[in-house]
Amino acid sequence: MEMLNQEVLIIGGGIAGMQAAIDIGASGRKVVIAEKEKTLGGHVKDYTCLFPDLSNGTALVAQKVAKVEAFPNITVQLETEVSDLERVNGGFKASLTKNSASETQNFGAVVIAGGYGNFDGTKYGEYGYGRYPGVITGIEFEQNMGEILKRPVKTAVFIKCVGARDRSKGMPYCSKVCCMYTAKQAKELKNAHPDASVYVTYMDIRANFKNGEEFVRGVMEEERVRYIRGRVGKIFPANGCLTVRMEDTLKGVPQEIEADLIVLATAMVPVNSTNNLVMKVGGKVDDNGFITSLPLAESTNPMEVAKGVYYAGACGFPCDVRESLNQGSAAAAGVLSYLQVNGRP
Amino acid sequence: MTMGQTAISSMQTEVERKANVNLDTCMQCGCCTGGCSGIEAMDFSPRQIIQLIKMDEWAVLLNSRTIWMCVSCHICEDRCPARIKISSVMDALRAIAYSQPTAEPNKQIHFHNLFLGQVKTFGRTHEGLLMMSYSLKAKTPLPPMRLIIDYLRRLRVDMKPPHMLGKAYRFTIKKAQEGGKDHGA
Ligand SMILES: Cc1cc2nc3c(=O)[nH]c(=O)nc-3n(C[C@H](O)[C@H](O)[C@H](O)COP(=O)(O)OP(=O)(O)OC[C@H]3O[C@@H](n4cnc5c(N)ncnc54)[C@H](O)[C@@H]3O)c2cc1C
Ligand code: SF4
Ligand code: SF4
Repeated sequence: MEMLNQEVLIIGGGIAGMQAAIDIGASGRKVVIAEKEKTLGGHVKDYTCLFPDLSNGTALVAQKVAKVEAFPNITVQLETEVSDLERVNGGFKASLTKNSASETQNFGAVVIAGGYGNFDGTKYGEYGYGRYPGVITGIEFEQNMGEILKRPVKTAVFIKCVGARDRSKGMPYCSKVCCMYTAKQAKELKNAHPDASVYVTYMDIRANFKNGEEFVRGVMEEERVRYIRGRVGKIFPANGCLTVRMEDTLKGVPQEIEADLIVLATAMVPVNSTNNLVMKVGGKVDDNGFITSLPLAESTNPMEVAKGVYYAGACGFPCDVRESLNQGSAAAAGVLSYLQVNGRP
Repeated sequence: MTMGQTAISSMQTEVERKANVNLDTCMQCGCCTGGCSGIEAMDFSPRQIIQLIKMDEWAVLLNSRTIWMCVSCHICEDRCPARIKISSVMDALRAIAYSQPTAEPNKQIHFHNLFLGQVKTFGRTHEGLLMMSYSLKAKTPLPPMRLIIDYLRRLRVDMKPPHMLGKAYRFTIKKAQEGGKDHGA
């Protein structure tokens, strides 16, 4: 019996995929990272500051990229999308598409780390995203932070759970990180404009990360960001500003706030194209469209999606950077033991 | 007010049956209030109404202005992240309030009865008659003379005799009355 192909394919070169590559690469096995963008790093490469320790995401990505590049056995294929994946002879055949030219390559195991998409803010017509320039999304805040912090802001309102916990939009789940990133962005804004009024409107505050509660309390108590409980009903232009209308559910009265900047904390959403790949090799996605692992009692590794297939990062469910890194390492451990056991004749 | 509370609310059971909703999906987010068209005239916000139903507050609910000030614009319902049919909940509350024999008839109920009575008799309301009969019934004073004169002179209120009905309309009304129990006056 011939030896199985031992190369590992990593779909997506975000923070989770790079961590998996580093841990697998250290074993000496050949790894290919396929990343559809021009650079590695995924979303985190644009974050200049990460909750909860305010470390620099761009620097973290640069450090991971340097590690990846130091391994001669890790090949990075940029601007390359994994467009097809199938099982062949106990291994996998992947189509790697670059500039609309496809080539196929065989692998022994796969890590899916395709990350997340961002909820389309225009789906809430009543918030006027796309119509009023003063309304932006959380991810735009991250990506254009320098420019946004320079805007003359007197009053800003952050609106949480946009595209999350909303059954009428088909999005029942809690996106988990937006409570934290909103607190972080509110803090950044307040630091840039100490005299500005900064409001966060919320239904619940979910800060279930290490030091998360202290972080959010700090934003309220030290930065004096004002949290108002209630989900915003509508936004309309008035007096040269944008008026946010909501109920302050703790006071029990309707409330209007005139703001010049409104940030929608849009949810992290699943990516269809990676899900199609997963299903082709026998994996499953849940009702919300996120990749699911095998039932814990049936799997040998928590990241196992199907035989020889693992996932890591936000393609499984919204998670923060630390969790993405943890999952990348966990998936790497799964791949290594799988190849060790199944890779022999 | 502090009071004993059970997890079972008869009001909730009744409203859920009538409006075909599950009020335990409500997250008390207040999005309904944020879009509400009648909020200025209400004593409780739509969100508070949902909570009062869950807490079985019959007396508070049946005497609240909110259920009558809801203009059924459906904005709340359109935006509710829990997909609760809030307008139907308000309808159910009005129907319950209306059918309570003990509930003291309030102005809204008088208006409701007179309005529907006229629609049934004339096929439409007659503003002049409605205004006068409402003033008598609810013992509210008529508008000041100055306004009445203004209404008449500028034809703001139709003073022509009421419109008379055709056979087909009377038949439709009869059928509707046989079918619609809750709202029939
Ligand atoms: C607004 C916002 C702010 C945030 N702030 C913080 C923070 O301060 N601190 C924190 O810890 N977390 C934060 N997060 C969470 C953080 O973004 C995620 O934890 C992290 O990005 C997940 O990494 P990932 O590698 O799983 O996915 P991604 O970063 O999405 O990377 C996935 C990569 O896969 C590539 N890819 C996808 N499909 C394919 C394919 N078929 N072929 C090839 N390549 C593919 C994509 O191009 C992308 O580069 C924030 C999230 C949001 C939305
Ligand atoms: S993490 Fe917070 S903002 Fe995001 S969906 Fe959950 S509760 Fe809403
Ligand atoms: S919008 Fe829906 S979920 Fe929110 S308070 Fe109103 S009824 Fe409850």
